Amino acid sequence: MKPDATPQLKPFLLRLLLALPACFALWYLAAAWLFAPLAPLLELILSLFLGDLVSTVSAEGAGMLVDTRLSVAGAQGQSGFASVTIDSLIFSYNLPVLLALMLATRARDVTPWRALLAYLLLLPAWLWGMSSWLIITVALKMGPEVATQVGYAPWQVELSGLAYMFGYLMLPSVAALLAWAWLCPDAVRHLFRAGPARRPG
Amino acid sequence: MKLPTSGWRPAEPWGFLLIFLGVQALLFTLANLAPVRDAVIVPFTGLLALISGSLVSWFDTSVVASGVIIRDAVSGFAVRIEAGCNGVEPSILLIAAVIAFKATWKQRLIGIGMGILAIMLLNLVRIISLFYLGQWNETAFNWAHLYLWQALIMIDALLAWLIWAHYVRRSEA
Repeated sequence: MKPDATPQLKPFLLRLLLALPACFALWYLAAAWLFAPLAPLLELILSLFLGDLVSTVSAEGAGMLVDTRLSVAGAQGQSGFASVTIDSLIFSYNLPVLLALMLATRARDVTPWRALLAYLLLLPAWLWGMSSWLIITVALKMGPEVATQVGYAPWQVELSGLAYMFGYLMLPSVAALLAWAWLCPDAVRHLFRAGPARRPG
Repeated sequence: MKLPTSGWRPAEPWGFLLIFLGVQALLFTLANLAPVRDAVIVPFTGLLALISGSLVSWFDTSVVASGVIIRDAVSGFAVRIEAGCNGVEPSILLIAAVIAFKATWKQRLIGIGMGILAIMLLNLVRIISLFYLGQWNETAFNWAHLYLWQALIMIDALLAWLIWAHYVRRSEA
C-alpha cells in the first residue's frame, strides 16, 4: 500500500490560510513584472473593440496606462487626448488565490513551470476584465463628449456593462477555480472523497 | 454496502463544467436584468445594510443604516453596499457548483442553503470590517475591499462547496 499524500479538508484549510498571506505579498510585490507582458495583448484587444481610438497601452507599475485619441476638454478650456489608467490588481487577485490553493493542495507539485502555467491560464480572464473596464469607462463613465466619439449603440453599452460586471465579479473566481481543478485534478478529487484517503496498490 | 464514489468519473468533468458554466451564466444574467435587480437585488442589498447597521449599532450607537448606506453619525463616514459587496456573485458560483455536482435534490437544497448562509455570514463580517477599516485608513480599506475580501469570499464559497461535496460523497458510502 502506497502512502497517500493527497490532502484532506482540515489540513488543506490550514495550509490555505498559511499560504494565502505569503502569496498575496508575493503577487503585490511582483505586480510590475507580472503585468508588463500584458500591455501589447491588451492593446490588440482594445484595438479590436475601439479601433483607432486607442493609441498605445503601456504597463505602469501595477497599472496599465491606456493613451487614447479621444478628445477631452480641460478645466481651463484647453483640449487634449484622454489617458486612462487601469488598476490591474483588481482583476488579478485570483493569482495569489490560485497559487495558495495549489500550495495547500500539494506543495511539492508547485514547480516554477506550474506557477507559470497558472499565470498563463489566468491571463485571458485578466484581459477580459481590463478591456471591458476600459470600454465601459470610455463608452459610459467619461461623459457624453467621450461617449459620442466612441459611438456605441445603447445595446453595445449594455453588453459592455454586463461583460465588465462578469469580468470583475465572476470571472476571477471562476478562472481560478477551474485552473486549480485543471492543474491539480487528482488532489482536488481527493478533497471530497469519502472517508480516509485510500488508493489501491 | 455500496462502494464510495471516488470523485469524478471519466465523463463527469465535462458534464460538471458545462452545467456549472451554464447555470452560472444564466443566474448572473438574471441577477443583472433590470426588473430582477430592482425587485430582488436592491431590496436584498438594503436588507444587508440594515442587518450590518443593526449589528454594529449594538456596540456603536452612532451608526445608522439607510437604504444601502451605513453611516457613522459622528464622523460622517459612510459606506455604500453595491453589486460585488452583497454576496450575490459568490452565491451564484456556489449554486452553480452545487447543481452541477452529482447529488439528490434534497442534498442540493441543503448545500445551497448552508452555503449561502456561510457566504452571507462572512459577508456581514466583510461589510462591518470595511466600515471600520475605512474610518481608520483609506489605503487599508481599498486593499481589503478590492483584493483581500474578494479572495476570502471566493474561498469561503469554495470551502462551503468542498465540505458539502465531501459529505455528499460520504453519504454514498
